[in-house]
Amino acid sequence: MFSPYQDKDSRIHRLDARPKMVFVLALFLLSILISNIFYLAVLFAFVMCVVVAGKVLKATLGILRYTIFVAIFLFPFSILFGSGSHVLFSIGPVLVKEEAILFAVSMTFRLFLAVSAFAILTFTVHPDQSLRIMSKFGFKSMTGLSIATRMYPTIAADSGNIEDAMKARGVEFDQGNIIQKAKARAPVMMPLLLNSMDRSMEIAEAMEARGFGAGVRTHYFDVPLSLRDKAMIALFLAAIPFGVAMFIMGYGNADYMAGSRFAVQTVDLLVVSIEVLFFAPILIGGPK
Amino acid sequence: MIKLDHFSFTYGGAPRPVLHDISLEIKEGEFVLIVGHSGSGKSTLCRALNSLVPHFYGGSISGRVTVDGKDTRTTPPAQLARIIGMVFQDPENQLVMTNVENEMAFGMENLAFPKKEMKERITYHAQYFDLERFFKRFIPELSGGEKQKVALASVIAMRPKYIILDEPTSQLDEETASLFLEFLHRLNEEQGVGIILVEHRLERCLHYAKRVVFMQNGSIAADGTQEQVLPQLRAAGLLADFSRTARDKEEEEVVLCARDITFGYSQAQVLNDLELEVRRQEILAIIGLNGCGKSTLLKHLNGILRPKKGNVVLLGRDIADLTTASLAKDLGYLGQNPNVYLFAETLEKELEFTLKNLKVDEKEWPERMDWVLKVLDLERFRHTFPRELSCGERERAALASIIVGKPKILVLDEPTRGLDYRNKLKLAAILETLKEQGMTTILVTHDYRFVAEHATRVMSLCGGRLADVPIEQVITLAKEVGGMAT
Repeated sequence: MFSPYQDKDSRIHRLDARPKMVFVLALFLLSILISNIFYLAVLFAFVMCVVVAGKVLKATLGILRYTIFVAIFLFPFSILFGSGSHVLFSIGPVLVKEEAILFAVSMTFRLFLAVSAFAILTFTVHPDQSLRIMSKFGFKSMTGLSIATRMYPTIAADSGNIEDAMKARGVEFDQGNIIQKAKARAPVMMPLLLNSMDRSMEIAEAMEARGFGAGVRTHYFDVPLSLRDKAMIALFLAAIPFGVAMFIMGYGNADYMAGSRFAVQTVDLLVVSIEVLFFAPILIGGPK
Repeated sequence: MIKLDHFSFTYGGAPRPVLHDISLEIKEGEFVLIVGHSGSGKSTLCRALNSLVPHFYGGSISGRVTVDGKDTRTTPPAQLARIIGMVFQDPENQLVMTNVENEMAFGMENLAFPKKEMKERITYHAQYFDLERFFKRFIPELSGGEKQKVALASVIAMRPKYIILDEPTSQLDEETASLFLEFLHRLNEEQGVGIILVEHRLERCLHYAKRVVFMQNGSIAADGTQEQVLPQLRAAGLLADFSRTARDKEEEEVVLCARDITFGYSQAQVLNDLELEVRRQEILAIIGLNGCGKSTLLKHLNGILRPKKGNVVLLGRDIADLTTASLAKDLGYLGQNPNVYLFAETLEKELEFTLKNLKVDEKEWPERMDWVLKVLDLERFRHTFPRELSCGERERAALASIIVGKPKILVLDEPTRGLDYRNKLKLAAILETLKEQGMTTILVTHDYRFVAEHATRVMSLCGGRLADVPIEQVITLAKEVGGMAT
């Protein structure tokens, strides 16, 4: 299977896709809203628990690895350009300020949280399932997602064949340094793109000939939401206004560049615990 | 009933109509075969029946097409999907879901069938098409024949009255194609589904069709029973008697030699101590069952794949340490899909790409290009975007991009795939010309007839080794499998 979906049997996999989608959506919104490092770290730790329960830790860490690269860029930039008055130490002429470090750390956790939440969606929801749900809401563009999964092996094979064809016409792929190798591969893109465009037209035609867009669809795999799925969705949704209310009251909100210091008070512990409790039912997962 | 009444169609921007004044009636339960040379408008006619023309393609029409009384101008294809189903040429580009069960449900979901009915139909048709065993399989893992069967089953599950099939077997090998066509015949007899089939393997399906429509230059040239239309098909060169042109081989020097080649993918051993000797000016055909490793063998000859054991000697040099690109001067390789060779703005630029990579002196370019375009009969397409060419022309254009390097040995993987009889003849004539100019050809194919008519030597690949096959045996095989008109 070439799709990123991880075909495993876990309680998270067994759970209906809809609560999972709401879960990710709610967490994503909160990750944008919240800036306090402590809140972000706790929520991230919780999401990682869900990842472990879903048996997709390895794949998720694989994606988070790329996030670390982004973070590595983040630090020098905030140190160079960030304002603040609490100088921790200096490297030559560059003053490393506490504000800048805190800001970079909070951004990193925010990224981690958002990425790991989406990893749950990517790795535990079958693309066919997400297509079905999205098409129900009339998001036709989501159909593309499923087709992309389906077409990925075809396009990968295409690109292999194109390389072979280029070699047969005298293009050297494996000689010279990295830049020369990369340059040699550039002409592969053109036929690959043209082939994919031809394919997309044919697919569109085939879909139309099979009635796609004829009107309201029915759903072969339509499973009604169970009471417990509904309860989960309600809880996950409720976490959003709660988070917003707390944010307005100042909990979870920290403007490090403006001089906020890193501090955790009992009330923070309480608020973030309640936030996590909203999401906790996902760990129960779906029916056996 | 499908009814075309003085129907004409012109693609947007095209100078002349592709379909011209067509009147035709197709009743329920008929098995109609539509034949004609490539470019005669067969595919466009198919698309006019289920209103992809004009809804998907635009363009201008006159006259009218009605399907069970519905005018195609006012009924979009998605609406007609209840009455007319369509199976396309490339199995790869018409399956949209990831597994077979979902794929079968897709069409019915679009037409808003109730869930219970979908379940019943899927169960019934999966059984009828013998698809149950790969119900949950990831579609890209299926073979071409299996995919095409899934495409057909998914359309049939929607219970259309008519099914249009546009060259459904052109991407399949001979045996699989036979089975597929036989299955269509059964479907027509048992389920009463009207079949409208475009097909170029005439020998194979002529006897199933109760009616044959012969198209020429966008018009209907003949319409009748097999017996009535047959003389015209012969006159147009769509059907021909078996003729063997290849002469006996003379003993020439060995140009390519593979010894002791052993190779396997992750688990299965594909090639096993394989031996091969090819002499100058041969046209060597390698035949063998699907998946027996024919393509794998070809890829060893120019180092795209490297053997685990054994070596390949090309024109006296061991290729073990040479790259595929550096061998391209001596050995030209054409894979199965010509599209992966074509990307430049014009055919001329396509040829220049090869010449530049092979570091051919620029002074030689014009002469080489003139030569190759003449041999392959592509002169008039010199300044055409190669991807706009028809299937047979594209095959030749890809071949041109290889031959322009004047390799001494030409290696072709399934060169006849998707070609109609006339284009096959053209290819054979090209190979013959190249042979006279000293070129050696090694080709892999399922097409027994092509082999029987044009190869100088035949070998079959089985169990990872090659064995000589007497040409007489191939001729017998060709006549058996093809149900060939003799």
